[in-house]
Amino acid sequence: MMDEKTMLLFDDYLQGALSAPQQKDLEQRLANEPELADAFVIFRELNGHLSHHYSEERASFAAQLRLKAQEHAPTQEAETKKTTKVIRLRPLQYFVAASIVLLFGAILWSQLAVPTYSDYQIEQPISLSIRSEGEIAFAKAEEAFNTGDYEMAVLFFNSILSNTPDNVEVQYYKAIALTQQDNYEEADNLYKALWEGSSVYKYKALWRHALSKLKQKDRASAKALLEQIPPEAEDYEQAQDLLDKL
Amino acid sequence: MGDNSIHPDQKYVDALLSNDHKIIDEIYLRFAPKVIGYVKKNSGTESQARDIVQEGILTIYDQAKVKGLTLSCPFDAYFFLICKRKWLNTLKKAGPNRVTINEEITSRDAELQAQADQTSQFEAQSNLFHTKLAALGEKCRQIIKLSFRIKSMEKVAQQLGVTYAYARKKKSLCIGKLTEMIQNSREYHMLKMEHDG
Repeated sequence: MMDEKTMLLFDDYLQGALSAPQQKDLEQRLANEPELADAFVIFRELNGHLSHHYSEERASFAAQLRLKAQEHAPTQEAETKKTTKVIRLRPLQYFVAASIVLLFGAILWSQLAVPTYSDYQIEQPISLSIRSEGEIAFAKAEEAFNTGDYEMAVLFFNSILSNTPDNVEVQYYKAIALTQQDNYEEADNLYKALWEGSSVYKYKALWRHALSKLKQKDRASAKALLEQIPPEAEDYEQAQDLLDKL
Repeated sequence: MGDNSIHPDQKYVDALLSNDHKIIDEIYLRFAPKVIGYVKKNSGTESQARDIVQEGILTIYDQAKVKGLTLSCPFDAYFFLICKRKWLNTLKKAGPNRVTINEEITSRDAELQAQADQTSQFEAQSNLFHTKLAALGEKCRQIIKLSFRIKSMEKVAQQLGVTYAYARKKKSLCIGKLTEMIQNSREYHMLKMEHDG
């Protein structure tokens, strides 16, 4: 059994906070007590391990890896994209549609031509990449989100964020879940914080923020957000397309 | 390992270490298909296979960061072997009777086996640390996570509404407690035996 004093000594040793005689004394003990030496090795390795595991650098690597994995995933994503596209009308149908529109007026026309929020599907299923082992909240959050139970998803996202407030991936999906529930104020604040930041979710957040504004029928704000999406962003083309229609 | 000459494929590990994201594309294009093919041939789905690839890359990155990783064998064979072991572990957890495994003859290359063994050990240690961390009391877990995430103990103390001295002391004691839990565990002794043996 290690006493408290020894635990504090270990930490001070690793921080380089021991005086030379204290350090010598501890090293002497480690040389003579194999159990204690074992404990010290574990203590030191735990520090190295956890410090890496919870680092921002690792979180950003894992998020990047997750994005790359999605890019390299086959057809499934492409297929969902195909089905979410706005239905394109053929010329004859345009004519018919236009005739109907003439009857029903300009308001109806704008509703037919301009995509709405629901035309843009959410990428699903989500799979959270930056997760700490043993935390069931991640699995629960994914499950709730993927089955469309956004209220529950937000609860689990909150629980994750209480431990890891900087998890941008979770912030991003939480914002989407909030938008789904029409909780716009909180969602928009989250999107804004994300696109003002420099994470890999920067431009995705911008795109989703624009869609949130579209859902709120605030086209001017949606346009302003879409205009900020740069050509290197993954959603640039969709953004330009939507911008044209708005 | 007997021969410590560094394999030219060390460039892959180094690129992961320096967060060169282009290397991930290369791993996906050149090395992932073989892993995906293997998992699918052995009762896995496409998406399970892709999870294994992702975990494989993350494990290599973690090991390289925490313990250093010097490749003495081709990346291709090493990556395949650690992904294969991951998949076999997944199958084992799912139950011994649920699957049939088409066991291929693996390379007898001792360097390669030793390299993959190191990685398996690293993973086992990592799993042990996290399992025990999850079993620690909530207060301890919270302060450990916060202090490694935020790094500055002043800020941790502020967030928890305690003094700096208390936060530091508590953190040391909690890691001490975790150390004890690990040291007293059966898994630790097994790992140690493997390592020493």
